[in-house]
Amino acid sequence: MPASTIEVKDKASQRAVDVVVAKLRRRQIFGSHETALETVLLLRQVVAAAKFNTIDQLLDMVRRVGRRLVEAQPREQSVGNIVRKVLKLIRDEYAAVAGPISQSGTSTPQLPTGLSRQPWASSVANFVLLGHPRHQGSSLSLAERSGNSTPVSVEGQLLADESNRKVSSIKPALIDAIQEVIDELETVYESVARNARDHIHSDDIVLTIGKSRTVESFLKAAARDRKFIVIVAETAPSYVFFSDFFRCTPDPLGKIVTFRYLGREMASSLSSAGISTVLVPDSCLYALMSRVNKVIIGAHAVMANGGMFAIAGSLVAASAARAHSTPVIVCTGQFKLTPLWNLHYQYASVDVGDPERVLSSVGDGGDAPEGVDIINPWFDYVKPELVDVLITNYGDHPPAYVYRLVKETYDDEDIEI
Amino acid sequence: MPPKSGKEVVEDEDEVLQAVILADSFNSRFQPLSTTKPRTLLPLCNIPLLDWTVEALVSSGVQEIFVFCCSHAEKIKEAIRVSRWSLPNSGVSITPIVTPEANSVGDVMRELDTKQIITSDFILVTGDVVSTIPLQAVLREHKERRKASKDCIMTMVYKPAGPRDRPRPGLDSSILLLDTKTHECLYYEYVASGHTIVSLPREKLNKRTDVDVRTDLLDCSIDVCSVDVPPLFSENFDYQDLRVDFVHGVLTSDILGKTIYCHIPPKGYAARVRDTRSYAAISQDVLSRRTFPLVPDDTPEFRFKRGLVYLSDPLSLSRTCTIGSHTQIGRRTTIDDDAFLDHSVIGEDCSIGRGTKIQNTYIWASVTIGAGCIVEDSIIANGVKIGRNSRISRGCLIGEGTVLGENANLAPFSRVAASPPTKDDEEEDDNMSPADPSVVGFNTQAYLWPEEEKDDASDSEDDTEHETLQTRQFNRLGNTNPHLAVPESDESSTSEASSPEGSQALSLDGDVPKLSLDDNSAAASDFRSECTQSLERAFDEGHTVDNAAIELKTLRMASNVPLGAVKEVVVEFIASRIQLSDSAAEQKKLVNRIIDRWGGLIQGIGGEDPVETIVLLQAYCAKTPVRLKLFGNVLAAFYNADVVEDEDIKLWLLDSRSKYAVDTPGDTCRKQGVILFKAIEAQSSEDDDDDDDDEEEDEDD
Repeated sequence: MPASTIEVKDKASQRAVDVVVAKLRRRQIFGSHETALETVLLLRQVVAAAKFNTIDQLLDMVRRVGRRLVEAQPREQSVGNIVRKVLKLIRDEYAAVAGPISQSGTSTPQLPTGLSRQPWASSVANFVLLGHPRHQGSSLSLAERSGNSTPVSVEGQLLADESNRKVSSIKPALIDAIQEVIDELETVYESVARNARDHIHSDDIVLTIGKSRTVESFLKAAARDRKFIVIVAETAPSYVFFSDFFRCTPDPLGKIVTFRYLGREMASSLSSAGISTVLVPDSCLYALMSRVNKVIIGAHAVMANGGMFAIAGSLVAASAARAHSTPVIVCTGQFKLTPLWNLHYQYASVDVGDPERVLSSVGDGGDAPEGVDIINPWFDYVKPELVDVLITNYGDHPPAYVYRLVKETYDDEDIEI
Repeated sequence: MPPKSGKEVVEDEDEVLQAVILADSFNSRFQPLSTTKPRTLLPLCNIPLLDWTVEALVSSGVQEIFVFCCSHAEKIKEAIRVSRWSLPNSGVSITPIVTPEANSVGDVMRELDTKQIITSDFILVTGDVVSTIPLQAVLREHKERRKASKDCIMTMVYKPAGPRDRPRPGLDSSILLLDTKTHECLYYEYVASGHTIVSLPREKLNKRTDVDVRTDLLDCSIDVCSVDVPPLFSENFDYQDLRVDFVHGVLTSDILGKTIYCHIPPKGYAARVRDTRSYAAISQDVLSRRTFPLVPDDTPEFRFKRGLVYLSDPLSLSRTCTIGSHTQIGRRTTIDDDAFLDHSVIGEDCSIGRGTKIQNTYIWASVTIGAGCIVEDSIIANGVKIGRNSRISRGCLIGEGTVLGENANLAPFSRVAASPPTKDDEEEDDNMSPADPSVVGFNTQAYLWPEEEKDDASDSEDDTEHETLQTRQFNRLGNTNPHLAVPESDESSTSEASSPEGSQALSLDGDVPKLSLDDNSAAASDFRSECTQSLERAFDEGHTVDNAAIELKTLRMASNVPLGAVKEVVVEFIASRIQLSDSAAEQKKLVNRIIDRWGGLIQGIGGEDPVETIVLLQAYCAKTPVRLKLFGNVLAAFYNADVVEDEDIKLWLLDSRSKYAVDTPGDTCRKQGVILFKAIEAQSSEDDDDDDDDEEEDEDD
C-alpha cells in the first residue's frame, strides 16, 4: 500500500518526535506515568498537525512514530501501550464516522451506532454489541485488505472514496479523544484510589515497598476513613529506583539532586498524611509478614498474563506474602496493561541500573572491591500466581482477567507496533 | 535540541551552547592501531569514541560542536557526515575544522582564536571522553563565578580516582592545590616519574585558611572555558599543552591575575581514553554499567543478558561455546564450538574459531581468528586475520589488516602491523623487513614494530608528550605489575597528600632559594645570563625601575623560574655594579648612588620578602671577598632607601640562614649587620637623625 505510507511532514512535529526519542533513549524521561504522558502529548501534536487522505495513512503515521518511540526505550512499556491506545481510538472514531464497511459495500457513511468518542467507557458494550471484537476493530483493515488483494468493484471504490472524504473531518473528534486519554492519565492516581476504603479495613497492617505514586495516593485516600499501620520497605540497599540525576533539574539550592531514597520518601509522605508508618529494611520482610494483613505494591508494567514488572524487592514481598497466605494487591493505572508476554526476563530483571548507586567505586561509601561484579536490578518480575487482585482506574480485576482487559483496550492489529 | 535543556540555556542567556572537540590526541600511544584511523574513531564497545564524546555533550544540551581534526581529517569528516548527528533534528550541528599544521593543543587553540567562532563560554573536550556528568551544572557554576568575577576563565572537571586509577609512586602524576571551600585551583604541577620533591609556591597560600593538595584527582579532559581562553593561547605562543603549559602558566603568572576553578562532580562517570590501559578499563566500566545510562543495551542493537553479557542480533553462537561475563558480541559474528570468551568485546562480522580462548581482549570489526588460538589482554583492529593455533600474549596491539599465519607466537607487548612504522624523518637506515615467521607465522607480510624505547630515542617531535617512558609502559594494556621498580621511594612526597600533614612534607618554595633550580641547571643558567643581560641593558640605557621590573617579570614567566631566583640575580647584579673605592666616604657615596637609583627594583620584581633580600646579599658578599666590606654599606643604603626596615634586619639576624660558621666571610657580614642594627636601634631610641653619618663611618673602620 504505497499510497498510504506517509511520513510526518511538518517540521515542528518532526522535531518534537526526535526530541522525545532522544529523551527516552537518554532516560531523561522515565517511569511509566511520565513516559506515557509524554507519548500521548506527542501523539496529540502529531495527529493535530497531520495531513492525510485515508485513515490508513494516519494509522501508519502514528504507528511509525510509535515504533520509533518504542525502539528508543523498549523498557518503558507504557509508551507502546499509549501508542496502541491512540491507534485504537483512531479506528473507533473512524468507525463512528464512516461506519463499519462491510464486504457487500452497503454501509451508509453516517451509521448511527452510538459508539463514538467514548470508546473507553463503552468498549465492553461494543464488544457485546458487535458480537466479535475483531469486526468492529478491524473494519478498516478489511477495507484495506479488499483494496489490496481482491479487485474491488467500482462501486466499492467509490464508497471508499466517499468515506475517505470524511476522514479529515474526524480530526477534531480525534483530538478530543486523545485529550480524554491525557485527562485520564492526569487523574489516574485519584481514580485508582477511589475505592481505597473498600480494600483497607481499620487496624489493618499494610506492607508496601519503595515508592509508587499510585500506592501513595491509594493509602492516603484510605486514611481518610480508616486507621491503619503501613510498613514501608525502603528497597535497600540501592534505595534509588529513579532519580533526578539524569534530568539535571537543580533543587532550590541550585544543586543537582543525585539521590532519592524512595522508601524513605514514601514513609515521610505517608507519615505527614497522618498514617502511622514503620520504615524497615527489605531483609526483614519475611519476618514481618506474619503480622501483615495486606501487601499493596505498585507496578511498572502489567503483562498480558497478569504478571508484572515492579520495583526490585517486590518479588520478595509477594513470595513472602504467598508463604503466609497474605493477600497481595497491585495498584496500577490501566495504561500499564501491556499486550505482551514476558519471555526473556522470567528470572532476570528487565532493566539493570548503575552499580555506582549500590556501592560507589570512590568516595565515602567505601571503595568497591576490584573484581567484584555489582548488579543493580531495577525491576522484579512478579508472576501472576503471586498476585491476588489488580486495582486499576477501571475497577478491580483478578490477574487472570488481564488478557481480557488487554483485548478490549487495544486492537489486535496493533499488538506489534 | 531537547527543549528542556534548551530552555534552560535560553533562560540563562540567549546563547547557543558551544563545544570544541579536539579530535587529535597528539601522541602515538595507540600506534599501530591509529595509523589507519584517528584515535577519535577507534571503537570503544563497538561505538567510535567520537560518538561517546558527542553524546556526552549533546545530552548536556550542547547545540553547536566544532571538531578540530589534524591527522586523518577526511575520515573524521566522513564519519561526522554519515553519523546520526548529521540528521535533521539531531539537535546539534557539528562542524569539522581541519587544521593540518597543528601539532599541539596550543596550536589548535590559536587556530580557534583566529577563526573567531566562539561567542560565549564553551566546553572544551578531547575526542576520546566518555562521560555521563551533566555539564549544565558545571556550566551554571562557571557562569555564576563569571558573574562574580570576570577573571575566572576556566573550570576544569576532575574526578576522584578509584582504586584502579590511583596514582602510583614512581609514575607521572599531577598535583593540584585547591582551595577547600571554593575549589579554586591555586597551583598545578605535573610531576614526571622519578621526581620525589615538589615545590609549591608559598605566596599562593596567603590568606587561605584551608587548602587541599590533591594527587588523587583524575583529569576528565572536560573544561568549561570562557572566551578569554583562546586569546591567551595566542598571546603565549609557546603554550602547547592545556594543563602543563596553560593551566600552570596562568596560575603562576602574576600579571594575568586570572583564576581557574575545579569542578569535582559528586556523581556520574567521566574518563578519558588516554592509553591502551585506560581503553581497557573504560571498556570494562561500560560493560559493568558504570557509565549508565550510556550502556550497550541503550541501543536496540544489543540485548542485556545475565552476567553482564551483551549480545546483538543476528549472531551465530555455537551450542558448546562459553560466553563469560563482561562480554559484548557484535552483529553477524560467528563463534565456533568450544570457543571461550571472557571480559572481551567482539565487533561485527567477526569469526572465532573452534576451541579458541579469548580473554580481556578487544576485537574490532571483521576479524577472523582461527581455531585453537589463545588471545589475552590485546587489542585487535579491523580486518585482522590470525591463523590456527596462534598465541597472542598480553599487551599486544595488532594493526588494521594484519595477517598472521598459523602458529604465530607474539611476545607480550608486541606491536604488529601490516606495514612497517613510517618514520617521517630522513632516517631510512632501518629498512624493516617482515618479521620472523616463527613470530608472525608463515606466508604473511606482518611487521613487528620495534619496542618503544628505540622509538623514543629518535622521536624528538614528541616533546609535547610529557609522560616518561616508564609511565607509558605502565599504561599499556595488560600490564599486570602494579608496582613498578620505583627509583627511590621518598615516603610521602608524591603519594597522596590531601591532608595538612601531607602538605608539610612538600617543601615550600622560597625557604630554599635554589630549590627548583637543581633539576634543570642548564635552563637555570640560561635564565641567569638572560636576566643579567636584561639588567645590563637597563643600567646602561638608564631604563626606569618600573620598566626594568616588568622586563624581569616577563623573563621569569617565560623561563618559569621561582621568584627567589630572580631576586638572587638582581641583588647580586646590583651589588656587583657598585664600584669599589678605597676611601670610606667615597665608597659610601658610590653605594648610595646605585642603591638610590636601583633599590626600588628589588621591590619592583615582586614577592615582598626583605629578609630574603638580605640573606641573598649576605651570600653574595660572602662569596666575593672584595665585596665583603661592602655589605654593611649596602645594607645601610637599603635601609635608607626603604628596601629593608629595621624590623627586617632584626628578623634576618634571628633567621638561621644568616648564621655562618665563625670567622667565615659570611659571619663577617653578619657582624657588620649586627653593628648596623645596633646603630639603627640606638638612633631610633634617641630620635636623632643627624647621627647617621657618624655611625656608618664607624662601621666602615
